[in-house]
Amino acid sequence: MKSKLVRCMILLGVIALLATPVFAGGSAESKDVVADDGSGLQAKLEYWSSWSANEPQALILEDAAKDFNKLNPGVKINFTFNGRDNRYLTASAIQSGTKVDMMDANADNISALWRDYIADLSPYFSKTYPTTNGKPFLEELMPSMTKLSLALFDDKYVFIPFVPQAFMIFCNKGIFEEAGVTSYPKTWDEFLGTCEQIKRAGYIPITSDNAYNTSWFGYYVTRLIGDDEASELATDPQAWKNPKVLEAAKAIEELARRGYYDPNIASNTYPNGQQSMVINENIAMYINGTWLPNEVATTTPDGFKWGSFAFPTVPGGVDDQTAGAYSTYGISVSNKTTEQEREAAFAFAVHLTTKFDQAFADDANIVPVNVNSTWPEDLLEAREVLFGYSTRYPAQTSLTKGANSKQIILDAAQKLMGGLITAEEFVAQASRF
Amino acid sequence: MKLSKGNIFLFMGPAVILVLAVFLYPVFRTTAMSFFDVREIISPVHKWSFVGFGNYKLLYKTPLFITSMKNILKLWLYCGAITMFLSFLFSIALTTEIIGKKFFRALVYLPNVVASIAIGYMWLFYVFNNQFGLFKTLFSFLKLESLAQVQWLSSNYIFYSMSIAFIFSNVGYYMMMFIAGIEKISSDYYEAAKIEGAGVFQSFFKITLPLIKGVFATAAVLWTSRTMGFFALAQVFTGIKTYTPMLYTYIVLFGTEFSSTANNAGLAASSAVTMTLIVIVVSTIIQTLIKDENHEG
Repeated sequence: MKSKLVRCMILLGVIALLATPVFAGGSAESKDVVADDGSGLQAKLEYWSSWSANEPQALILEDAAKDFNKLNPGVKINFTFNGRDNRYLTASAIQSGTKVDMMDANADNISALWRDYIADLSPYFSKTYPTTNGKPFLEELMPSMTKLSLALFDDKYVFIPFVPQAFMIFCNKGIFEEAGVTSYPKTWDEFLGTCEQIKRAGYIPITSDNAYNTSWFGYYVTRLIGDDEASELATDPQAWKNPKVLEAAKAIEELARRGYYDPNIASNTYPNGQQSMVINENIAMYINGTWLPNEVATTTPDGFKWGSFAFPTVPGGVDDQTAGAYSTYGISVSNKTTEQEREAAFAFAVHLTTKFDQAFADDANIVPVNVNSTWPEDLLEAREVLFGYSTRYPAQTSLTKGANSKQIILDAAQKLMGGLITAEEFVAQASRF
Repeated sequence: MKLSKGNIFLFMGPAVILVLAVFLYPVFRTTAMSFFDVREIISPVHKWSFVGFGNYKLLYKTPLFITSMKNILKLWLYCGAITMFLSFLFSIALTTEIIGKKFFRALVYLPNVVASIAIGYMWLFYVFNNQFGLFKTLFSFLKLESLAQVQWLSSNYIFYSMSIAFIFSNVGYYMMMFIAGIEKISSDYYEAAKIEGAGVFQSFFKITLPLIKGVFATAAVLWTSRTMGFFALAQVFTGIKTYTPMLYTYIVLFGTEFSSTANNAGLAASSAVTMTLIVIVVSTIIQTLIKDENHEG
């Protein structure tokens, strides 16, 4: 008798255990019913973000959502902060039927991974909103960043840009002043002169680390042959046979030969390069993005002055300093959303990039996307550079675009800058993919 | 309660179903995926396009994958030999009657408890740093200038640096296995040998070694499967010489932060299948070569 009862209970237990997955995950699919209280926008939105929960960008997003909810009580936004893996986590989630209404990622990732999942937002950009002072929303945003969407998505606006980023040479202005460098170099010859002056003053002209080692060669070769041809270097080993590629490699080899590179460059692991720059204060230049001052903020001494300038022109090059690497993060809206949800989502993005845009600059030292915002002091010179760009290189130059080639090129560039291999050896090693 | 067949199935049921669903089904699906061109892991089956052995052919032609295979072979062989040797050495030392036996066992095992990523970054940022790292400071203090000058994280040395970190975190785990194996040997054997007049070395080679052959086999098999999944330290010590097949699979599947050039889950699947087959083959060979001696107790 007792054993039969026990058997029944075990059977029920097993069934319950097996049934839980069926019932537990169901809520992701159900659409909540939101009572229409007549205050306008109504929606319950799921926002999947590329920021981590403790990053300032995430905190600003949450503040903006709270504020937006006060003005629009019918709209509730729930955040999931996935970190940078968000770009593929979102794609998988949407494919498996999870409700994701808004998502953000770097524009290049949106282009590569989210094309099938996002809505065309073009009609919303020409409307006015409570915080746009009577102007169409489009006019509030940095033109180069909105134009990026048109360039990547066949003349359609598919994301609201925020947290723009530009990639250029960052420098320690204090060292420049001490070495007697009065103006930023515009040509390669002037640049060599600048390096020499800095070296004579007893400082290290250039450093890099293993996350950004392709930057110097990448920028030089892209200036020399243009981005279309430079992108082939990431995917086609035969493209390296172009004699101009060797020419670019020789220019970088020359910098190493003259001793302009940090002696530690061959073994600098990220973030050694940038941290040494702010802690030891004896390195002048480092190619990096506008996120740099914020990344090293906790170790930067007071009085450290950041400067930035565009990569110089190179002899025989096709591009000048109006070409540069930049990108932006963007907020996209799922194409599975209802008209109501889409309106609410876009209105929130407008709120974020108008009323809360200054917070990005003030609280997080990040480039603001709104044309009316004031840039952080550390990035004022970067602003001039970015506004001067009219031709776009992909973020961190095209040399980083190939999954099969990126590590190989990085390694070879590290050895070239460390003076361990010649330019010919570099071309041979970097093209072996 | 009677242990009838029905009861047995009832108790085993949940575990068996979970194993089938969570382990076997993905294995079959991944193997199937490796013969198709698949955009993403969860792409529905009707979106797959058949390519036969195309993914495998592409894979074995990709220099980055071949390099990663060579790296993992070096890791498996060299680090394996050194780790097993050190673990065995420690296990012998810590099964004798020395003072502080329990303390030393815990000490050697401690790195195994800490997450690989944390260990990796400790080595990367602190020990191997060539300006203020532990090695630099230590060797300078000992006036060993040539050792102090070594650029541990440069392309030439990074493989060895990573190997040191890898061995450091694994010795404890295998040491525990060997200790368990040694302690299982009945002390009757040793007493009998002592009475017969056998010395320490004779006891070791004639009693200890043969009776823990099985542990060696298990350790080798575990080492093989754990090494093939080498990922965390490879992420920390980035470089060509430290690239591993697991890292390759990950990058093919998810792309780097800026590229994401045509993700191919089918290619990643073929890489996963290759790794699994190698582990199975190597494990089978090891288990056939080293046959455990049956002993009582």
